[in-house]
Amino acid sequence: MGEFWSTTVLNYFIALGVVLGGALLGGIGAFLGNTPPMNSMEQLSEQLKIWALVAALGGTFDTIRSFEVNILGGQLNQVAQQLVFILSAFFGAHTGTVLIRWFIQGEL
Amino acid sequence: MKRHRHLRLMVSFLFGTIAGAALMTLLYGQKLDSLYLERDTLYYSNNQKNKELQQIRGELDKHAEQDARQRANSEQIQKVQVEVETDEPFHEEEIKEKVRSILEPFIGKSIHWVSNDPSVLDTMLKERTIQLPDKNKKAMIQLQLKYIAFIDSQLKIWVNAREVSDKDVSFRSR
Repeated sequence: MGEFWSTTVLNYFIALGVVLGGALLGGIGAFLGNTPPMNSMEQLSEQLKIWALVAALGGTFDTIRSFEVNILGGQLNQVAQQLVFILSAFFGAHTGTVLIRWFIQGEL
Repeated sequence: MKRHRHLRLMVSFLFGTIAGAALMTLLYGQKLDSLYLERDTLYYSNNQKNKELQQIRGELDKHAEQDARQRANSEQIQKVQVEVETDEPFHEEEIKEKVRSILEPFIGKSIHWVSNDPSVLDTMLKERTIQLPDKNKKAMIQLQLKYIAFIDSQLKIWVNAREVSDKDVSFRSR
């Protein structure tokens, strides 16, 4: 697997892990804090989505800066790669949120 | 090396705890959520009941106060009602009026005082003779207390009244 695909898969799973882990451990914290765990998990999965994206990409500023550099430098395939990374991280975070929602609501 | 092994064990234990807690959340989360919901509903209904209770308690206090005030007023004799059993039906109203005037001092007196010692009434009326203004003859009526009853703040008494001849009467000044 080339570096591009391995980074794409890595981003996907990092974002997925941030949402799933954050929501799951947040649920434990909610239980310890005397609040309903499942409800907290559902809210956390929504709130963590954007942060999962940021964590997977390693900071939004670098990515945006690389857009600028690559567009100005005429390297459009690099721009496309960055877009795929962002999309894979987004799908990872979204998958995590959807999985949590399905698990909690018990329906598709 | 041994220290590292212990650290690894401790971290493994920590991971195990977290994994167990996560598993417990996944398995019992739904149940816990419904229990939390039920608890909130119970808190709410309990609060509502408490508010209702406070309101009812306030109303009860108010009513108790009103009742006490009313009772204080009704514990005094306000009115005397006289029922007469007599062989002289034409003099019944006059006898009633006379008896009522004899018992007038009881108006405003405590019902408890009279009911605790009804002999006071008996003493007032015992062998009491009253004179009725009659055109033809001097009618002397002897009274005798029969029953007494208290209806709210009203004293109701039943009196036997029989006519006596002059020679039966021994006047006593009262």
